[in-house]
Amino acid sequence: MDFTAALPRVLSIYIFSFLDPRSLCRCSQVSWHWKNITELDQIWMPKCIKLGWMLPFTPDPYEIGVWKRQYIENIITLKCMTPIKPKSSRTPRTPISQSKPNTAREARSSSASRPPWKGSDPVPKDIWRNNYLDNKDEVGIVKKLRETGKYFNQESISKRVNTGKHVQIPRSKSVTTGDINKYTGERPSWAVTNGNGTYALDLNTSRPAPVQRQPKARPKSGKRTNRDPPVDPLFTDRPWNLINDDDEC
Amino acid sequence: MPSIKLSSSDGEVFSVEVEIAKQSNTIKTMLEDLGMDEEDDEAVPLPNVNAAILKRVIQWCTYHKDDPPPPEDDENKEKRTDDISSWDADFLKVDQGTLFELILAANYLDIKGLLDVTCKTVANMIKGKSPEEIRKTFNIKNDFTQAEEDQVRRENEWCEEK
Repeated sequence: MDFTAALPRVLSIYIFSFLDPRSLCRCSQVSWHWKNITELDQIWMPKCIKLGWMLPFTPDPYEIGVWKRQYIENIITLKCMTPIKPKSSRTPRTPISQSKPNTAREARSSSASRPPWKGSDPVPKDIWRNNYLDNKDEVGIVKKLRETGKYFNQESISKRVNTGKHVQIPRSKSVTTGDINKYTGERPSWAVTNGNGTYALDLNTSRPAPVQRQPKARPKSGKRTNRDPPVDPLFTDRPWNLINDDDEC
Repeated sequence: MPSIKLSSSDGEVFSVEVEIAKQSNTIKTMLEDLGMDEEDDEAVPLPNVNAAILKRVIQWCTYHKDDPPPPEDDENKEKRTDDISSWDADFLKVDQGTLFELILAANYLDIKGLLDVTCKTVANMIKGKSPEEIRKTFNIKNDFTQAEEDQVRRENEWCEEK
């Protein structure tokens, strides 16, 4: 029994949305109707976007299967770029890589089971930001903490007061008051100093003078546009009459 | 425990606890909009569900009445099909016609848990099969010509190479 014929289209698409790309490609070889449904953009677009593959162009409104092709093209490119089989003879294992991986790169390369486009960490933590624009339910979180008594209850306050300990916030120190010599790295050419602590003047370098804006020449009357200021002041004499003036006269 | 009467399309009436029936968002919304009347004895008509299917839906809802509400769909998460509980797997060992009618009923009654688990079951029937095996499973006629079939196979051959 063909469920794509028995069920509404929405439900068929919902079922196909549970399938992985490989199964979807096999489904599209079943029949014309299946091919049309399994190549819909609404199934493939989330799969592309999840891997960060945006479409580099705006597809026509009647173009179909763009996102599936985008997915396949990206996969094929990745397969071309990555070696099919890492040869163990050409990259002999050093003692370092046999021990615990100490860099992120090594850790990533050691987890060879994951495909290269998936990254080592499914939930990378280094991109977390404390952003108030995130739709976090801050009020709800605080409320819940208050209910459990872990946040700002009377006991914790008094405990904090009694111990008399408080966190010392490190003051920001100006670089000039600190020990300048602790920055032992090579200075760039623009900051080379003499022995007595003054900057060496490099007289050979010519620096550009500050750029001044040229006053704009007033265009001739024939070439003026209505955006230019008027040549003659407007309203030298008053071209209007006030009713009260007339009355008084 | 207050109960509610549900009437299937072929006229059979089932008495169900309100808490169980409320797993269906359709019934829940209806009760919230219309209010519950204690002495009202009228059955709720469900014209899209027949008695056999409704019985199975009630059976599923009774077993899952203490489940937490299903999490919202997250577009960024890979959808899984291997997280069907063993009770559900046994419950869904039915013929394809019943399975598809369950999908329709779950959709009509808006029971997300049942809809997901039935759709995953269908997806599992497709996974790992060749196009020819899929055709056999669902009794689908191959309407590609030989040339078209070759063409489509070439379009999709990336997924077959190791």
